[in-house]
Amino acid sequence: MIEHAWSLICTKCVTDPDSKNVTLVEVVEQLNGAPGTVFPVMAPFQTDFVSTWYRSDPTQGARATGRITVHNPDGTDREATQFAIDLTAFYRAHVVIRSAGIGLMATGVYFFVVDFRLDGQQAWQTVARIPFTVALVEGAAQLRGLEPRPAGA
Amino acid sequence: MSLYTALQEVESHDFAARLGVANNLEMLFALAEQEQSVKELLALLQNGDEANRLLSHVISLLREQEDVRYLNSRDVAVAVCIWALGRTQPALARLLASEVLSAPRVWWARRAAIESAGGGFIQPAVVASSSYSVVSTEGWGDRGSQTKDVLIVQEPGTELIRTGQVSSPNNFSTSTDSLRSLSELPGEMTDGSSESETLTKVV
Repeated sequence: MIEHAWSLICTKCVTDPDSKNVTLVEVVEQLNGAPGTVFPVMAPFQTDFVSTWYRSDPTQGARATGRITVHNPDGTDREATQFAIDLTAFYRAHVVIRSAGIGLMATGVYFFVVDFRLDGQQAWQTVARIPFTVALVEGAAQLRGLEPRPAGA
Repeated sequence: MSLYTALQEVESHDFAARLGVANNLEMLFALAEQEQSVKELLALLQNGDEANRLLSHVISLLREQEDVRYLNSRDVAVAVCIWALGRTQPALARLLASEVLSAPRVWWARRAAIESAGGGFIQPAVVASSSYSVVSTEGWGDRGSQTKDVLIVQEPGTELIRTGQVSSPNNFSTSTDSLRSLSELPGEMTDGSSESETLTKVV
């Protein structure tokens, strides 16, 4: 069997070549757009969706298919990204889904839903639902440190 | 020189032939840097609007049907565009790289895309490609790691890019600080609130 350990969204996942530990840079929970942003829009903002899977029985290998589906704030779903989780030769797997940009339909809360199904099974099992807020915020660029804040702010 | 004049030169067969002597990416880009059209391109791409136009243009190029028996004739040009965007507008370069990874019959462009999109991973090797590409590092040789790392580069929404609906990278931030929120603040939040709370407990 395969178990889901954790999933999150960050700006970059880096694997240390010596220790093989992953470093997650800036876990992202909210994306702030500047006021006046017209939707739909592609936000050219890199995110790494990192998901870790492991064998429930350390001595027993297993294979499964994972799936990440983004639920838009209006309740519609986007095309899912599927990936193989092959733990026949490894105890655990880090799956990083890197996206160079996010297509945004509107402001609101998007959900990244993580499902998986074992080989030979039909039914998907949901293991995580990660909220991701998109808001229009005045001074989004200043928050990012790209522009100085006005005096007194 | 306008963007399209520069691109006309970069996409020409002569340009591809001059850069064709390269035997690795570094050499290809070093040769490209000597070209007048590329110098002009780099200057033009400092402007975000021109960079967006280049992005839409190259995405359209990748969709063009050519003779499927041969390498894409704009292979070198696309590689140079990824590199040039990487020097001027890195966020847009990554968008283009994600698209190129699933494009057929490109060789230099694919390598440039892997370099741009595969950061943070060691010796990425593309193992699959359809609507997205898998760039994976696994096995870790004789070190016997118990962990397998898989990097999947997702194809972003081509339609939004092709129609130029790409926001400036500076328009977005990731702070959960609602200090400057224009909209109403939920619950009992004040102007100084953050939407996230972090609890640290020392045990």
